[in-house]
Amino acid sequence: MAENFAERLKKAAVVAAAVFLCAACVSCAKRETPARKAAERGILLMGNAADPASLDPALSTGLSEFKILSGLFEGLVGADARTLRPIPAAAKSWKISSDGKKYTFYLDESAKWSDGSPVTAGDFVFAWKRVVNPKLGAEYASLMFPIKNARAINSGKLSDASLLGAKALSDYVLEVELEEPAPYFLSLLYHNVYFPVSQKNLEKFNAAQTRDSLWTRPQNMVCNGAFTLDYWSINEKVSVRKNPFYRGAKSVYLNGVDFLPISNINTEDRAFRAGQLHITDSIAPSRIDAVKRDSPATLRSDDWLGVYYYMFNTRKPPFDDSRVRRAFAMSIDRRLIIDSFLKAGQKSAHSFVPDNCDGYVLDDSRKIKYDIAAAQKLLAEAGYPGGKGFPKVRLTYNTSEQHKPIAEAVQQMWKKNLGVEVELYNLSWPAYLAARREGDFEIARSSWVGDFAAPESFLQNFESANGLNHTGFSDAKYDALLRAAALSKERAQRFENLAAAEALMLESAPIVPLYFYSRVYRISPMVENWTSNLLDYHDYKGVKLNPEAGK
Amino acid sequence: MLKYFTSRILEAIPVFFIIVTAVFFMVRFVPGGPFDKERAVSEETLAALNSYYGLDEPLVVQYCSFLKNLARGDLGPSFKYAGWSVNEILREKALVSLELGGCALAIALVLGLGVGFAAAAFPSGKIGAALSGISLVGICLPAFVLGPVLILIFCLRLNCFNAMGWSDFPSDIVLPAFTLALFYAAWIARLSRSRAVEEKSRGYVRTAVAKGCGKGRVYFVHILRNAVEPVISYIGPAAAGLLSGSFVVETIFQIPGLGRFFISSALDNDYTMIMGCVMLYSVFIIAFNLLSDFLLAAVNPKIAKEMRK
Repeated sequence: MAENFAERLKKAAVVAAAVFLCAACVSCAKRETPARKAAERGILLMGNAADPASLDPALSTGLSEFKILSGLFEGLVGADARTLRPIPAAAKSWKISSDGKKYTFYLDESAKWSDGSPVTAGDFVFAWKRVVNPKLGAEYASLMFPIKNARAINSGKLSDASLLGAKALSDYVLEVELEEPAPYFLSLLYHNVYFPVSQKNLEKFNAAQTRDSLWTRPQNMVCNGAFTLDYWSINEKVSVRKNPFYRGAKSVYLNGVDFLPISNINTEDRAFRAGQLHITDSIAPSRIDAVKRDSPATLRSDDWLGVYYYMFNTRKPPFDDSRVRRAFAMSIDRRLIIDSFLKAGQKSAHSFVPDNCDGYVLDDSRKIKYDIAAAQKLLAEAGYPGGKGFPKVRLTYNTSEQHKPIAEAVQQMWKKNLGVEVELYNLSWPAYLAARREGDFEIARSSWVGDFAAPESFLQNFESANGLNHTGFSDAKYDALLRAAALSKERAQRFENLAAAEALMLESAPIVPLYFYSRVYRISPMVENWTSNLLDYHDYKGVKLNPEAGK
Repeated sequence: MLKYFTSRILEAIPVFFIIVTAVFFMVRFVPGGPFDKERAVSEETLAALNSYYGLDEPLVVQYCSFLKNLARGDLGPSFKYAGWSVNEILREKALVSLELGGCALAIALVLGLGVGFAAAAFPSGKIGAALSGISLVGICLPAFVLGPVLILIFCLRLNCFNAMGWSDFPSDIVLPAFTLALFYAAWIARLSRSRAVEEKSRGYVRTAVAKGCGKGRVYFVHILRNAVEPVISYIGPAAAGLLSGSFVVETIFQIPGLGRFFISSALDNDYTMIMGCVMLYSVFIIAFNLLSDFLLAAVNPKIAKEMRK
């Protein structure tokens, strides 16, 4: 009986295995990949690192949101996809007053919202007043502060929002008055906080003064960009589809874009390899060598307007001495870090503003040098020859696979080159932000990505009163140079003032720039006309998909 | 019996409130706030945000207001996702996790009990040793290794399934459900095997065989019924874990479930979302432990008798 039972079990196992194999063979037939199917339908599949926290242009703060919003909305001014120079968008032309404080925009009368109604100057004024309204709590309202009275309204010092320096002179003429000249103002206008919203639509959903409104849901949202919102499910997907009311709809090749919020870079890479994405958001450095070897055509590395740096707390010893800070800044081999960990040809950073940011370049002689002997001399002058007597200090960074190896490498370089001990201290993101804000650090990791393509987007961070200046660096001369740059009538003069300010800051060394960001990602051969620029801003309107190219 | 379960439910209510209260206050003492961003937020903006979400009130007032809203079933707006309520997110995401977890639970039970009882049928042979070895591998193999390996084989090599996503049914559920289930299946296999081997030497089995019962009937009717007891005890909390979502599996396969919110809400200091996740998980744990007690009483009259006392 026992043998029969065992035999029956064995036979059942053999039958089950055969069924499984047959099922596997049937399902393993060559499938058409989702990327090819989507390309045939004109839908671009994009990895988008983070889930959008909001699709309200006034409340969105991250690049992952901007990537979506730039398809849904169109500001007064666009950016050339390669050079980032301002180009006409919702405004067909503009005029700047001789003192640089008044801008008059003439709107394109053919511009329509996705409900068919016209885009008017009043919609812009409504949207901007909404951003600076203190009740809304828009985190990026400060980007509007160049506009007259924006800061006062946002801080509650001025309660009459009609005093904002933005007025609709007619349905199609918008006048903007600035507090003082801001030569980069046009570049600011393609940031999402400056996008218009349909006043009629927002009032319908009672969204004028509240964060929690349903106006950003697919069935409710009214847009003026090349696409409209079709689907949004948190952690799953945001889909946008071609807007038939868009004034340039005929020249939009794509029928839509699906943004997939894939937070894990390994998951994203596997999805690309399995043919589920046309473009990834990034790639793990550990995969770069293999991709360079196996499919180099799919790997792209574009310069990006961002810098990775360490900052010192200049209020506390030993970093209250600029000689110590400069010694630390001069003793790091940035090239070694890039070649060992980043592997995508990033540029080593010896200054804070990335080169060629709107044509701005700081002369090499004014940058921080890699010079171990000079660094050792400076440290000795500060009273720590060979690192003797130097107190143990902490390098604080937020938990991340990328930050840790870089911190370890820098720790070793400081030990070897200067003879100092640095303890590594990692914190969760909120705890790290709190430590930075409260000045509870000696050295802290940091990074900055410019909001607009101008050196001011970087250098303003070190103005004495700037909320991002956690280092304690404060220099009246630096502040004066930035103001002089704002008042400069000529571009060359403006850049010279900015360069003088940056050189002054680097001489004091409240920071150690390590490398300039590159956007490293994979792209399918099916994608055509994908342009790159410093802001990682992509004009989806010109992108084409060729399903045959991937065969 | 009804009295037993009523008392268990009544016991669960204060437990639930202790958990909720502890978490409510703990999250507020974590460094950083829900509106901390790399870009400095002006004091006025921060004040406006705190006022909008009621965070400028004293903690006790915030707690009372939270309880009042909870009584109405309103968990409040998510601090991170402007325009989305926690109720809405939980409802949408919990369905995905329930679907995935339900499939994983079914796989874990079928595979675990199958392997466990098959291993018990051949306790000393090669088959038994092989099956025990397989279950040991299942326990030792973490999901973050198994998931990518399965993707490598079935998606990148054989091109059978998608490597990620949650749109193509039922194929998108196969690999994540199996990845999620394997660990639990392995434990179920080991628990059921050891109890089944123990039960085989009991007197009632010898009596059944002596009375002429077929081996299959003895095994599947008499032994199995008793051997599932440890599995039922285990499956209560395990089911709560499976059905409330898995951070690792949902991340590997990019599944829009609830599991990732358990981590991301804590990292974002999204207080209302943290509360929602904790409450949901607490309810699951309490409910599935109760269910497991109920099933134990159903399969074992001795336990049912004790519950009646």
